[in-house]
Amino acid sequence: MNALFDLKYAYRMLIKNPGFTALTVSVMAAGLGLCVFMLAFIASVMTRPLPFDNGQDMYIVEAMEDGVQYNGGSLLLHDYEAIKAQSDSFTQIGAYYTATANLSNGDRAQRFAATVTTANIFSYTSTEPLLGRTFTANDAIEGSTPVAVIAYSTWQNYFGGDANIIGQSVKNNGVSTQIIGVMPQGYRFPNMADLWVPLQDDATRLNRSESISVSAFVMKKPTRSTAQVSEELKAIMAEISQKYPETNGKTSAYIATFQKAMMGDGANMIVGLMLTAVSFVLILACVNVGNLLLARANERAKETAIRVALGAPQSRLIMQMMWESIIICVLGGLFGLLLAAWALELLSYVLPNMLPIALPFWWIMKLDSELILQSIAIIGATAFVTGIVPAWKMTRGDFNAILRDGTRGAQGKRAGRINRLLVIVEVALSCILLSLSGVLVVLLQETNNSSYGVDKNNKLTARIGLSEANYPEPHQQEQYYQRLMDKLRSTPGIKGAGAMTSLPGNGAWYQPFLPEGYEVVDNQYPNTGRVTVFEGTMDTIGMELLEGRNFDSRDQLDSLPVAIISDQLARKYWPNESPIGKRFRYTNDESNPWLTIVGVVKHVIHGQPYSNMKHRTAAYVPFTQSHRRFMSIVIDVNGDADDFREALSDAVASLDPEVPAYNVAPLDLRFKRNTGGMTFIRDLFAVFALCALLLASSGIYGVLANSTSKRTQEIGIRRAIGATDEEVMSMLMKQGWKQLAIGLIIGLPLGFLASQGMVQLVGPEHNYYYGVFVAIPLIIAIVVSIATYMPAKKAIALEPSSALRYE
Amino acid sequence: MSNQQTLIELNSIQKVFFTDEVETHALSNIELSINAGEYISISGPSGCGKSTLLSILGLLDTVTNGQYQLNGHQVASLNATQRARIRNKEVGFIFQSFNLISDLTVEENVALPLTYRDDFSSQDIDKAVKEALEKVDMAHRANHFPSQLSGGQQQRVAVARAIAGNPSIILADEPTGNLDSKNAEAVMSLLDELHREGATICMVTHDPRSAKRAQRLVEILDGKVIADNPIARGVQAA
Ligand SMILES: Nc1ncnc2c1ncn2[C@@H]1O[C@H](COP(=O)(O)OP(=O)(O)OP(=O)(O)O)[C@@H](O)[C@H]1O
Ligand SMILES: [Mg+2]
Repeated sequence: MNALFDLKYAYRMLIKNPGFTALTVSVMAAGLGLCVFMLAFIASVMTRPLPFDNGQDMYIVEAMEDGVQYNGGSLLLHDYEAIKAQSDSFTQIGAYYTATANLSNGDRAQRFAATVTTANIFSYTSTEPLLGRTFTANDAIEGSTPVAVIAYSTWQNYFGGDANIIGQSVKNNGVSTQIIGVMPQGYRFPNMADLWVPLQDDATRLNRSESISVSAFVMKKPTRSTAQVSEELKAIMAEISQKYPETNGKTSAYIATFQKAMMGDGANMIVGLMLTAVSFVLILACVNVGNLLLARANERAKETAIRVALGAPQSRLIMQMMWESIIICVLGGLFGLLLAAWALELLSYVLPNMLPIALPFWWIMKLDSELILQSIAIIGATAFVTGIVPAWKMTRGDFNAILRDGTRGAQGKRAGRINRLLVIVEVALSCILLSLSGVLVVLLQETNNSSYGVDKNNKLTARIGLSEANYPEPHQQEQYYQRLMDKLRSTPGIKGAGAMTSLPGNGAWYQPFLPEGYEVVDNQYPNTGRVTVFEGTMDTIGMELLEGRNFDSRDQLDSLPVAIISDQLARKYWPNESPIGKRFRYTNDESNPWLTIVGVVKHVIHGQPYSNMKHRTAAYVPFTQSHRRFMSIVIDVNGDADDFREALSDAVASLDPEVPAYNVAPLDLRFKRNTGGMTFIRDLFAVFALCALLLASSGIYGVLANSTSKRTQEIGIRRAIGATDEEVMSMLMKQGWKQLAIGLIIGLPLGFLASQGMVQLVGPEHNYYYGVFVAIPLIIAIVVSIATYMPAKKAIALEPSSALRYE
Repeated sequence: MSNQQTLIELNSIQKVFFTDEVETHALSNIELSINAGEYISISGPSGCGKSTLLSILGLLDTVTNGQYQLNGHQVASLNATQRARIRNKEVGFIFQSFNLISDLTVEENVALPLTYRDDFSSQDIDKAVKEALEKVDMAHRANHFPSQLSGGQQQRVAVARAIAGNPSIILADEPTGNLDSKNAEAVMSLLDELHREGATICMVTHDPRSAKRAQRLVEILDGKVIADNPIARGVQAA
């Protein structure tokens, strides 16, 4: 009854001031909405356990080269076997790698992502097939009938949901393969698998140098910490690298959740920054609403005094105020949840087109019950935080003085101090967020403009994979690509065509290598990328030859093995001399020949244009001496690259209808997607920063307008005794600037520190981003000055005589 | 009149305000005892300490020194929560400027102090509010807001609020100060009536005519009681 009485009153007060209510509710909705959105994003991308039994213990083990964590199949099969045999940390372990599957049923070829895996992948994920069966031990024996389990989506899209699919055969990379099972809808483990085929490679029958690379999926014993597992893995891998330095020079292994492995190195730092940013926005929202409620509590001081006189217990007085903040925060929270749900929906639509990769199955942007519970907890916390200061203030007034008739409630010293503190907090928080966001904008500006070492304009690219069954021999592969190049080069509008194993912007194949005469310390072989290029490709894509020659018809299978290296590699191992004529060899295989360097090209970025990838070196070898079935092709065209998609696909299809061209995309779009993740993060921070600036400026305006209007009478008196308008104005402005200065002194260094993680991750060439720490204080100074000036001007506009009568 | 039991006993009460290193001795050495059922009027020049004394009587403020016994209990050194509880139960305030809460209806204003009690169910509250409003003849305006009432009506609602919880003492600080003579008269007769029904009333007033309606007149000067006399019956008999 009593609570109802107060609740009714709080409700009435909120209805009575619709402007106030709308403002506070929308501020809370914005803050809480952003917060829930961010939490949902982080949960789906990083922290929510995979949706399988014991999902919280499912991890992936991948290789680490020289401290750089790799993913997507980086562990030698031999190393996996060693870990499997020696580790004591896992209850289950298996291996897989991702491969391309060109499925064809006679007339239609389509490319899918296949997961080549040990048979236990399905029991690991505790999932039964929807139709048919999964793998048995027999399927994994080399030479047994090729079989495949397909994903629900593959079944629906490629096989038209055929009810009799089990037992049917389809050509997979040219090999007749029997479909033995269909997995349930949504099952795409480990990532975005379209189908699964059994891993038949056997480490006992392969050389280390021929070993394939896999990822290991493991079920960690719940009693082991990841740190313990890490130690164990390091020890196992250290032993191997001592034994086999040629293949395992600086190789170690690490354990991570599937989510984290997929996000890479900087993920934890970015998530930390996101959480910090979103809590700042939430704090700002709370500060603003709290301040508005405080101003209201001050206005209602008389009413509170009456309640005190009537013997209201302290708890009731506090609850009285709390009800309002509870209503505001609950309403704000409801709108915020709706907002977040809507934004997540939107994100699900735009993300797939923003990023260079297919999204993994766990990226489901939704609010689950755990998030809703978290949201409720956060809403409760914000209601408490926004309500408690005004409520506390309310019970602490000098109610005797207020009840005494005619007493004017001059602003107490404490209220003044709270106001000043609020301005300082708002300046500092928005300064941190704006700096962070500003730094990201500047960094990304640089990376997006960073030259990959090639000409990205008017280039269309695609990926081609020849099946082993149809193109087993090197000369067949060479013939195919030569015919494709000829065909493309003779197509009207196409100026040039080329092919290479990995395009600029895509990671190269990094291998241990040895420059001739180079002293290897501790068996730690250095690494460099290895890219096979087709003759004429470097000209087509605009790689700049600095020294020596390009590959040409002189380079044949039986002629001198040659290579072209990047200038960065040249500088590193042949400083102060020309590398032309020098030799090096890749050491992962005994039979690898010494390669003679015939040319030097300008550095090309293979991978993302960030610090740890940007400067990785590479060497290029001619296709004629290093045949490959999978190549990326690139054409240089007159006009818009997109207009040539059909010409390219037609040319590919005309050579062999079973070989599709996939991942067709203009080169500049690839580059753009390469930094898509970072761009998304930048945009997200821009939203945070904008919210922060809006909240801070409106909040500061509110605080200063309030404290200035409380001083109207004082200002009137000062002017009555002869202060000029300028003197009064400068007095008021100084007050705002003092808090501005303190806020900036706190906020700038913190903003600088917070941005350092990002700076390291992106690794800019220039320190242009320092400019942000000049620009942001200026912006904030302008905002604070306006927020101070407007109420001050209003106070001065009032005639001194009316200011004296002002109440 | 009804019983001669001592309700309030003040012994050498002293109240000093400390502001900006200036000490204001608002009350010094006040000795005062009030019996249940008495009707006392307090008067004196502006700034002499009348309101301060009333605040102390009503436990709105604490004493600097001295003993205060209310209904047999020492209350001078209670904490804020305990004082709030006693104030709520034992004291009814009437202010010069009515001090109704503008966003509560007449009914809700009267109910407000009762909602602070644990021993009143909502039916009890409804009943008490209805009775109180009927007593001041404002029952027909139960659902109005204070701003919709005249000053005299507002003060009658304030009286209803003061008596709804059946307090031991009613404290009134210039209850007619903001009213014209007609409305003032109405409020004063209301107090007379309450007194006849047994209420203990302590009223501060500048107006000698109002003061005479009490049984006893306490005069204060510079924080000291300078006179404390029974008033000759006359008006009282009317
Ligand atoms: N909170 C306070 N701080 C400092 N001094 C105070 C405070 N309250 C009252 N005083 C001082 O105590 C003295 C008594 O004040 P009080 O309000 O009790 O006078 P009063 O008799 O009610 O006067 P009036 O008839 O004008 O209402 C005055 O000198 C006043 O200035
Ligand atoms: Mg007074």
